[in-house]
Amino acid sequence: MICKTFQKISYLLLAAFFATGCCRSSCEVWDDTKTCARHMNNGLNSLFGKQGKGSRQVCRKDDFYSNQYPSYGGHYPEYAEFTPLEQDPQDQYLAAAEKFTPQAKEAPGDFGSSIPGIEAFEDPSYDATLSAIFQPIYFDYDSSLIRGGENLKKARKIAQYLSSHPNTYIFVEGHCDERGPQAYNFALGARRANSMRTLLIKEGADPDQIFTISYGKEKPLVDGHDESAWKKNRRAQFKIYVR
Amino acid sequence: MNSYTLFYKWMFFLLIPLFIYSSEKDIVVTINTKNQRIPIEISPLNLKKGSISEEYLQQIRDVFVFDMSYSGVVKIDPQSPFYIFKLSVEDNKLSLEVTSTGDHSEKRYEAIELSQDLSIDRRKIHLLSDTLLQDLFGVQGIASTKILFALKKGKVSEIYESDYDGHNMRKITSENTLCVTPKYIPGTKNFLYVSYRNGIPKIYYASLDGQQKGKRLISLRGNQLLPGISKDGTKLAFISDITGNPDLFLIPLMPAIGKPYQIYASRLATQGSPSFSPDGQKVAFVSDKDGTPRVYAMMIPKPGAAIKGIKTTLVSKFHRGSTAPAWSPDGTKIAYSAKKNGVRQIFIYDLYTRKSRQLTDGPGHKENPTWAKNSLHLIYNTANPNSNELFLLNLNQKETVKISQGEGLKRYPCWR
Repeated sequence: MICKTFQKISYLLLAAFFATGCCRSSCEVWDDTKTCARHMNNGLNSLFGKQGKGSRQVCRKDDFYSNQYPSYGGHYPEYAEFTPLEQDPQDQYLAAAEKFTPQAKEAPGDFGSSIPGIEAFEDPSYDATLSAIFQPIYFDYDSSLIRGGENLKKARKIAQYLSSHPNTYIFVEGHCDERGPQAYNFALGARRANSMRTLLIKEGADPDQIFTISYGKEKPLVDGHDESAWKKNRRAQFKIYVR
Repeated sequence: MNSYTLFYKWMFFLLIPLFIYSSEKDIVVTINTKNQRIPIEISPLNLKKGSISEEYLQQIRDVFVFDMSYSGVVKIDPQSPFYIFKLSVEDNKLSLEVTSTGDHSEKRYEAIELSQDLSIDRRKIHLLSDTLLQDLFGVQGIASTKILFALKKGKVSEIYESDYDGHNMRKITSENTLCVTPKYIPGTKNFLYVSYRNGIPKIYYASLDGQQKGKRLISLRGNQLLPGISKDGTKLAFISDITGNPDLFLIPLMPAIGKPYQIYASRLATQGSPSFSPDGQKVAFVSDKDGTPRVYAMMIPKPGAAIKGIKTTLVSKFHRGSTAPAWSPDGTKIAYSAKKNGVRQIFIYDLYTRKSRQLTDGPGHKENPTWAKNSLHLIYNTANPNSNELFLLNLNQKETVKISQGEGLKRYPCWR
C-alpha cells in the first residue's frame, strides 16, 4: 500500500516537474506565475461578464456620475483640463486596488502659481529635525509598492508633519536603479513618486501640499553596480519648501 | 493494475510532450543575408587635376564607402561586382561614373563642387549616395537624413542633432538641465522634447535652429513624459500622471492644439513609450499590467470612451521586459527592446507573419530603437553604466556600426 502511494506521488511530482520545465530561472518562473494569475483572474472575470479592471457595465447614469470615489473618475472640475476615460466608480476593484489621487491643484513654478518652482525647494538634510522626518523610502526591484513596517512608519511621520505644518510643501522624487530600461524607468519613477504621495494622503496629508517628479534612473544616489548600491537608488526622496 | 495506477501512468506519459514544449525555446529566425545585397566595387578616388590633398580625397571616399556599405542595398565585393563605381576629381569637382559589369553600360553623375570643408562636402556626398541608390535600385536612401538624440555629460543632458552617420553633430538646446526623448515634428522645422527646466518634467517644442528657448506645449499638471508623435504630425501621445498614475494620453496638434484625453489607464500598472502606427489609428505602448513590462498595441479610443471597450493586443509575446516600441513607417513591423539571457537586445515583431526576430546580440544592453523612413534601417543606443553609444543597423545586414562620437552618454535617438 505504502509502495503504491509512493508510486503515485512520484508520478505526480514528475508530472509537475516536466510541466513547469527546468530551463527557466526562479525569477522567470515567479514572473510567469504572476502573469498567469492575472490572466486567470481576467478569464474568470470574463466568465462573469467583467472584462478586466474598471469594466463593469454602467447600469445607471448615477453610477457614472457618482461621487463615492471623489479621487478618481466621474465628472469633476479638476478634470476640466483633460477628458478622462469612462470608468465605473462602482468597480469593486477600486476598493481593493490602490486609489490614486490626482495631482495638486497648483503647479509649482507655473504662471499664476503661488508656489515657486523646484529651485526654491531644498534638500531636508540642511536641518537635523527635517532630515530625521523626511527619510527616503526604498522599493523592491521593478516595483512601486511601499512595503515594510519601517517604510510605513516613515510615511506616517512625514504625513503628520505635513498635517501640522500646512505651509510646508514637498516634492516627492521617484528614482530607479541602473538596471531597468531607460525610457520605462521614467514611468516607473513617476509611479513610485505617486505611490508615495498616495500613501501620505492616506495617512492624512493634504494632497495640495505634495507634488511629484520622476527622474527615472538619471540621478542615482550611489555610484555602484551591486545590490548595495541599487537598493539605495530605488527610492522616493523629498525636497521641501516652507512658505 | 488498478485504475488509479493506470491513470497516473497515463498522466506521466501524456505530460512528457508538455515538458518538451514547455521549456523556454526562443524562436530563432535565421536571416539569409548573403544574397540580399548587390555586390559592387568602389575604385580608389582618381585625382585627375587639382590641388586637393590625398588625405582629403580619402576622407571623401570614406564617406561614400560608408554610405554604400551600410545602405542595406549593396555590399562591397571587388571579386565579383555587378557595378563598378569610379570616383574622380578634376578642378575641385567630384564626378561619379557607374559601370555595369553585365551589359557594360555606363552612367555618369553630375559633378559636385567640393568646398574642401568636410562638414559641407559630406552632405554633398550623402546626397549623391541617395541619388545613386534611387537611380540604380529604386530604393530610398538614408544618407541625407538626420537624427536627434540626447547627450548627457555629468548631470546635464541636452538635445543634439547630427547626420545619420553621427557626423556634423550640433547642440540644439542649452537649458543646463535634463533634456531627454526628443522627437521631430513631421513637416516642420521644430521638435519636441522633455525638459526638467522648471523641476517637473514637461513637454516642450522648439525650433531646430536652436535660436529660441523651447515653449511648453501642454498645460497639464504633473509629470509629462515619453512623447510619441504621429507620422503626419497631427497627434501626440505621452505619459502623464495627472490622475495620480502614469497613464497614456493623447493630444491633437492640428489643425490646432486640442484638449488632451486619456487613452489608456490601468490602475495597478505603469504605462510608457507610446508609438503610433503610420496611419495614426493605433498606438503601441509599454505596460506592466500583466506582471512584467511588455509591448501592447491598441486602436486609439475616442475621447471619453469606456475603458471596458479598450482591447489591447500583446505584441512581445515571447520576451520579458519589453520596452521602447517603435512602429515602422511602412506599418509592417514594431521594433522594441527586450531581455534575452539577461541582456536587452533589439527585436522586431512582424505584424503580418506574427513572428519576432532578434536583430542584435552580444553583451551590453541595447534600447530605444528608431526607424528610418525606409523601414529598413534602425538606430538604437547601448545602455551600459558608463557607456551609451548610438549604433546603426539594417535588416539586410547582421553587422551593426557605431555612429556616435565624442564623450557623453548618447540616448533616445529619433530619426527624421
